[in-house]
Amino acid sequence: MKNSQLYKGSLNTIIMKLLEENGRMYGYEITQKVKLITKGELNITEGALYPALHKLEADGLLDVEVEKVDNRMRKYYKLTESGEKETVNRLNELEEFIKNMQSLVSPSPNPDLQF
Amino acid sequence: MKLTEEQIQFIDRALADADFKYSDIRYEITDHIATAIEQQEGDFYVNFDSYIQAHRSEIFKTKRQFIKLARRKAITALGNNLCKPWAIALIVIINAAGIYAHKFYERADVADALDQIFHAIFFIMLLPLAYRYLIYKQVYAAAVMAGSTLGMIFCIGLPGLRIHRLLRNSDLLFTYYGVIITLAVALLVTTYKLDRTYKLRYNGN
Repeated sequence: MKNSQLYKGSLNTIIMKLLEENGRMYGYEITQKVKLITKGELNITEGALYPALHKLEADGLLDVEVEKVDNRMRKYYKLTESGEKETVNRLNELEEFIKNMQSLVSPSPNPDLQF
Repeated sequence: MKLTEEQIQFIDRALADADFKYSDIRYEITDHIATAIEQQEGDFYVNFDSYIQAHRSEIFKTKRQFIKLARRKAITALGNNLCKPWAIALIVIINAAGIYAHKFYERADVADALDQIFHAIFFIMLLPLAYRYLIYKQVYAAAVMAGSTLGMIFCIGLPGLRIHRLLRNSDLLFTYYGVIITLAVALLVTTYKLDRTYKLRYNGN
């Protein structure tokens, strides 16, 4: 994944957000959707994506449906009820984080603090 | 370009040969590779080779992480089963049965009988799984993790053949058997529950 250190902590939230918007998705579809949205800037590798999906599933945040598609088994992931609630929490946290980072990286001039 | 059934089987076999022995992870990676190759033009085998060359380390990383999570899933499921009232009741019943039998039989004979029950449970569990793996090559990671945990307990349980000489207190001895037999039963239940869940998920039966 590009800039892995920066993106790593947000991968689960990215996945959950995509599932919230798209209902159910399979692994490859998630990688392509992320690539498309970020115009190729962010490339989620298998080694990052699947462990994250499996962990979210083990934590009860994702549910799984398996279907036979084009001569093979395809595993679709979708948010569980608790996953939906958790997505809202994580997105709020992420937005807060981005806001704080923005304040730190490019602080807007605060007249109260000027001498 | 959609892949043919033979091409899908080729990917599946290549993964199986690369030690992707658990069906659940193999199915998922097969689909991932197949979908990626379907986006490309050209010869399937050339595309497959170049995909594997470029993604080998990521694919193996996925497998390692998957096995870790499957083990965690198996332990969580086992813990849940061990906390159920039947598990605690079973420990008490085995302990009580051991104490009661000791009134009529030698301590070593009762311990031998309990030991045989433990080993019988182990083989009851292991044989169907081993059969399915050898014949159909279809096993699911979390179920195997639970099964292999039982294998480890079996190894720990082996000294149990002489445990009645080590534990002089009869109550303690029968409690020991209560615990290891309950653990074996809980693992048996966990293994089959997990196996059934995955079979339902992938085979629909």
